[in-house]
Amino acid sequence: MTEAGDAHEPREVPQRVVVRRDPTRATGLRPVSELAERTPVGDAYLRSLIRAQLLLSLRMLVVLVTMLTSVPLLLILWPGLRRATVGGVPIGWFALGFAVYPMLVLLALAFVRRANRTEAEFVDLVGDPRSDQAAGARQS
Amino acid sequence: MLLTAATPDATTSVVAIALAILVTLGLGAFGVRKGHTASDLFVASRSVSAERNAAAICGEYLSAASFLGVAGLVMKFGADMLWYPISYTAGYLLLLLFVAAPLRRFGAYTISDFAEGRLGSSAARRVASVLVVLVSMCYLVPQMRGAGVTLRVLTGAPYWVGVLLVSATVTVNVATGGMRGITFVQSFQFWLKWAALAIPTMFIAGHFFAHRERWPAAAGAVDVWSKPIDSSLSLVRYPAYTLVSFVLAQMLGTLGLPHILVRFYTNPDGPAARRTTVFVLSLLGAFYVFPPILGVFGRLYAPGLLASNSTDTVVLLLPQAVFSGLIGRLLTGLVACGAFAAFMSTASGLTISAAGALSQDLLSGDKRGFRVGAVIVGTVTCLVGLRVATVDINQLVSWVFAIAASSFSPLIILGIWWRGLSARGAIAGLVVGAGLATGSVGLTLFGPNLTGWTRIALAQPASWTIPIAFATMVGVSKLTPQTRPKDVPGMMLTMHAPEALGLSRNYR
Repeated sequence: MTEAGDAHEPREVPQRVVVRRDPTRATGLRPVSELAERTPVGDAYLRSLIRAQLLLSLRMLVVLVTMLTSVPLLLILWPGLRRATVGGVPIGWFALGFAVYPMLVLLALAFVRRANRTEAEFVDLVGDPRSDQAAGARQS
Repeated sequence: MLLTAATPDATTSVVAIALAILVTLGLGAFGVRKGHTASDLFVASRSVSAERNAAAICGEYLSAASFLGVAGLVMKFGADMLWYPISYTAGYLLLLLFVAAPLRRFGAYTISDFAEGRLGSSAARRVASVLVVLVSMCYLVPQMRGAGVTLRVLTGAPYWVGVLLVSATVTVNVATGGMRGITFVQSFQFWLKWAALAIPTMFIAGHFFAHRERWPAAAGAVDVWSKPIDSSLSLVRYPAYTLVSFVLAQMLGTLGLPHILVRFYTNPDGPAARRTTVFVLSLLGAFYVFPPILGVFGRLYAPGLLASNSTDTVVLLLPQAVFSGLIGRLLTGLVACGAFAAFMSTASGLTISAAGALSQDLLSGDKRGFRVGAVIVGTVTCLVGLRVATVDINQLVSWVFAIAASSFSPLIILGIWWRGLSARGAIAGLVVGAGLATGSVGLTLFGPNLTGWTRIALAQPASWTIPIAFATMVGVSKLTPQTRPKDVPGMMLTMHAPEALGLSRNYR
């Protein structure tokens, strides 16, 4: 969905119009109706959404695993680090006993922001049923 | 400073525990008047805010293992044990990444509902229900054990008194209370547990700094204790396997805990489920900072527990080991209260899940069936709890997570993200994964004395049972595409399309 995100920039607008209009012309349905009617075009829209969300989740998973394994790896690669302390607490204890929790929350917030944005863009792409006129106005 | 064999003053503990039980029963009874029938519960769910829901999830999740076990393990084994709370917490990040919003949108109330709705198969539902009962009851046992040990340590009462007390309280509360009551109780109990660790920790920390004490165990034989991960990852042997296997079990097991997933249903929509999960992560972080600190203080102020091999009582005994007189007694009372809150809240959620699955799929399915189910669950786990007085709490809990991780987590993850999942594939994966994990646990507990790799692999089975469960689900699904449910695209649409599009359908 990052391409769709770029679509907000002015120079990308022509491409976006093509994406939105083609299925409309082919079947006479708006994309949201394609989804509701389970047409192949609608299914393609859905697959692209699921794919984008899954890739986002997997990327975040990689970040999580990297974050968690980095502490022991650093301590193994630089044994001298083990003598370092933060306020009297050995650095490994500080990282794993305290610092890791705010990091997890930050990661969660970053994910939620992106996931919600992906969904908002999807609604934008297929047309929000509550704003038919707005969508129509933008298309013409 | 040294802890002697003397039993700490029992009066405050008795009062505190009685208070915890009465408040739990009282709040439950208060909640009953608010919401009574299933549809009331459904409506009530919309009035629960994300913050309170998150506190309720944490209240239900933080069990005896978190409240007592983590500090004891850190005290005994050192920095490596910090991975326990980390993986207990990071499991919710996985839940957020792969499960929370789609599962909420699907509208399944329990894991059994999800299995039936997603796979269009009542056989899958029954298998899932049997596993829900198994996992919930296995998880109840350590709570009972925690209660028995706590009461014995603090008051000198026999082990069975605590087991019976918690068992009876929880069964009565669940059999008479509604979900709304439980949400109240659970969120209250999170904050009680938090305070019961935070306040004593701060007091002891004050003592620590006032006496200008140093970080304990800086040299000699305890070197391994003070250096994180040294003992596990630098030696590529058993410890590394055990650690990885354990972390996998905790993280993926969290996705499949029946009493936790029910809570996500009380979110109005997918984005709210995400918001709730972020709150959960924050609250768990705020909680899990404390047990390791208490473990470290335990090494400093109550080293006697190491010698007597009873470190999982350190949270209970530390306040009176540091402070004599009134402060020590009051702090002990607070901790006792928190400990019982931990046992009762987790046990309530588990009893609800197990009784619900029992009544829906094996008994009458109405309110009376639910009550009978609750009584059955309470009685059976109480009887088992009486017999496990010597097994380590965290060991018991990690097995439960291994079973859930090897059965429910593949079902939920594949069900949400993979169109190809078939009913037969899911059932095969559930049976194989849960069977292997349960078998390993059974062999470890009751089997012959094994040695070497076999023993290690069976004692911490998750890192081979989870991949086997996933592979079985995928493989059998590919072989039996005819048992795929109808309208998979519609289900995918319901789970993944934003609510604003108004495209969701009801598959329950």
